[in-house]
Amino acid sequence: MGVIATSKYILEMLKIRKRYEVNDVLALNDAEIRVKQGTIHALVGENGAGKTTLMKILCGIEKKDAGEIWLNGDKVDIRNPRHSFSLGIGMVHQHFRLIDDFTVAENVVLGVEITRKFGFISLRDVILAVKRLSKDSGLMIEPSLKVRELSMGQRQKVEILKLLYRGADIIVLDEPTSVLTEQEITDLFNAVRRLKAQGKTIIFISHKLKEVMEISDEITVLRKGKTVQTGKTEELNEKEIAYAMVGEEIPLEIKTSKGLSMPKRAILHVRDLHVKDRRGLVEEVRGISFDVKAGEILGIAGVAGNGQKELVEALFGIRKASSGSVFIDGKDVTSSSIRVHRENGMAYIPDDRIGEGSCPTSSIVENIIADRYYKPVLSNRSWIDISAARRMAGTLVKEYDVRTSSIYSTIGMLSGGNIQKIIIAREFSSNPKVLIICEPTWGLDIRSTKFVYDRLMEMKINRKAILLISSNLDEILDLSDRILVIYEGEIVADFNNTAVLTKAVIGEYMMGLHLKTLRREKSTTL
Amino acid sequence: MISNFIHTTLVMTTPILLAALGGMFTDLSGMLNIGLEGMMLASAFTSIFVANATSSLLIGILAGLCLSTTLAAIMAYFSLSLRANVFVVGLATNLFANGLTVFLGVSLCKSKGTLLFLNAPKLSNIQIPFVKDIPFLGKILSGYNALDYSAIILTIICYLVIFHTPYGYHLRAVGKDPRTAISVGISVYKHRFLAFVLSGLFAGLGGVALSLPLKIFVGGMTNGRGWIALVAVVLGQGNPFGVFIASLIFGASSAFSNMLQALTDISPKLLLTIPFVITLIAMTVYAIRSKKTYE
Repeated sequence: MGVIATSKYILEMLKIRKRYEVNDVLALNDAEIRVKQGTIHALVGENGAGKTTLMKILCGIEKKDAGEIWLNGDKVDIRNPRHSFSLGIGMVHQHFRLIDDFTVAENVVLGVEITRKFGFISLRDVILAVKRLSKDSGLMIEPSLKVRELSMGQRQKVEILKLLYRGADIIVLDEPTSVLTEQEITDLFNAVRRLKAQGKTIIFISHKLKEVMEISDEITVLRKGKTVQTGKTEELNEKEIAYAMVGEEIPLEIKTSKGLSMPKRAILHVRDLHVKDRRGLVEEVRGISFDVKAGEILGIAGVAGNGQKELVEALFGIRKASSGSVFIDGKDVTSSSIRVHRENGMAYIPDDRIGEGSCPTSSIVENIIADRYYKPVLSNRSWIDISAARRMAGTLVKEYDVRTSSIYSTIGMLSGGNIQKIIIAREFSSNPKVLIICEPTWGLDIRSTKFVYDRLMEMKINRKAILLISSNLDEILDLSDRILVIYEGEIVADFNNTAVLTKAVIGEYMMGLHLKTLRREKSTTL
Repeated sequence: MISNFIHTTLVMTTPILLAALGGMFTDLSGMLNIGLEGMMLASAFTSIFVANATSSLLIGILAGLCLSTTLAAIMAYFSLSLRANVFVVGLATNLFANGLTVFLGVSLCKSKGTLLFLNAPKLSNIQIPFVKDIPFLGKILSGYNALDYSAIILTIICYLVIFHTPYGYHLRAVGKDPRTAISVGISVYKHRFLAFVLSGLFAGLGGVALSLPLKIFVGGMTNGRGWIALVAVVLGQGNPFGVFIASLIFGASSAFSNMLQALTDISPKLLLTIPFVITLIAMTVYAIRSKKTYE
């Protein structure tokens, strides 16, 4: 109150530029966003488009390299999260920042407690204050409950209350619906609308178009760190936005062998697979069936978070499927251990290279022998043949062009591209029949990307059955022989990868635009 | 006799309780300081030596606390700023303090054995008027020294600070979820450092409580109390009253072992193991219970 904005925008971020030193990625390249007071502004884009980075800069978590931020018509230089708080900006992160053992009320006031005599906190005052805030904002929640007892939707309410308690005027929600059930999403949307009615400004980060169209007043689209479109939601249509998000660029020059070998015999059979989330409540994979033939690359396209991770983990035995079956070359491996999967000729290259794909504190040698240390080549049951392990690591490091000073270097010291090369070396050299590979080039530079593609093509020529999961459409189109599109845990489209297939078409299916027609017809072949 | 036993128990509890309260702060901050034993020992020697030299109890106590707190600050610097492993740093402190006190004993007092400090002022027992005359209860409630009383008062103060002040909230938040603490603007470094300093102060007081009332120092006189205090920290589960009860159990087992030594012919060496046997039992019971609640 009192302050009359000289600009019609409450927030303007102009020509924001950000380069990450670690992997030399240009995350933001002249990104811009202009937000009007009291609106719900959607910030959309594919994974890695820079949405979260842009908002982290606004919240003082990341530093910008260049660009300007204007708040209420004043140019501001946001120094740190505390400073951003004091300017009335708050963000609900994708992963909640709450203390499980504290009550709702304690979490809300943490860091900004009011004290009475002798610096003591009055728990009653705190609970009353939070109760009042909860009532005023319509985010109903019992303040004396422990956070540990709350559902994801309730936790999100606590996060928003936290921001309101600190007097935030601009509230950033980072992919707020990704952890919620349908009902919780409806509640969230109602709450967001109420906040807007109370004069708050909301920035809503999402890559789900349906939601964006439903909730937002204005939309800004980011692609590869650049603002490519912005406007009123009512004046844009879904196709336009989907196209702006995905874009149509010059493809990377790769020698692919699409359709080179004629795949015949199916090696991997997946039948009516259902997988539930870790809480066992929501079905993340809802009845998926497909085959992968020897010498074929089957690409699964989809916006991240539509069940790909759960599907892959169930295929490889990391997660239990609730029903359905998985066969490798005729052998039923459903619900078997990971080792059984591997022994039957399945290899897996996860998207999470450092957590899942490798052990960052172990050496290259140790990482290479991780899946085979017990096998006769390396072991006589009780002892590992260290010199054989060394020789093997040495050969693979050379063969896969890993740039390292020593095979004893810990993996964590290497660059992303070299880590990926080591994982690929291990998985490819295990001589699998089926290869599952997720986001193989995410965050890699052009040279490493090309290396990965070339090796993948080699595997294909060697008649491996390859399942490629990627949210990068170019990659899917360049490499795959067939493409399935996954949306909300279901396969919504099945294409042969022919010259007529465009990114725009796949993009529409990825965004769930053709959901209804497809569910009726079950599957469409182009 | 029962009142005597309770009296001895409380006296035995004091050093363990003080050290455990200090350890509890570091445990709450998410970085347990296992150097309690060493800090106690350093302070035990320094306080009685300085008190003897200056004939002042206060200066003696302050000198002891100074050394233990300095040790704690150095440990915090190593493990927080230089990122050394906190357990290795703690072990090093324990070994260092043990060697240091023996060395100082030899070089300053020319003796390897028990050091008597006859010039040191006496830390007298305080008799509370009227209360001391109540039969039975008088013996239990009255006649302790200032350190014994302060240990009880500090327990209550710690409770209030941890559960009813912003500092306590912030400290617990840092220990439970540092990332969340940072996101609301709470400094993890600052709170862990301060927790270490507090552990130095409290363990130092615990050391003072060992040497000053007896006016003697013996090499390694903490005799595992710093370690038992660590167990009390774990059993207390971050609550000062929990820590108090756990310390009391260990105090009682020491008193029990003392009593048996006077009354029976059982080998004293065997009796001296009682507190450690109790520790082992306590940890086992705790492990079984927490496993059950986990399931």
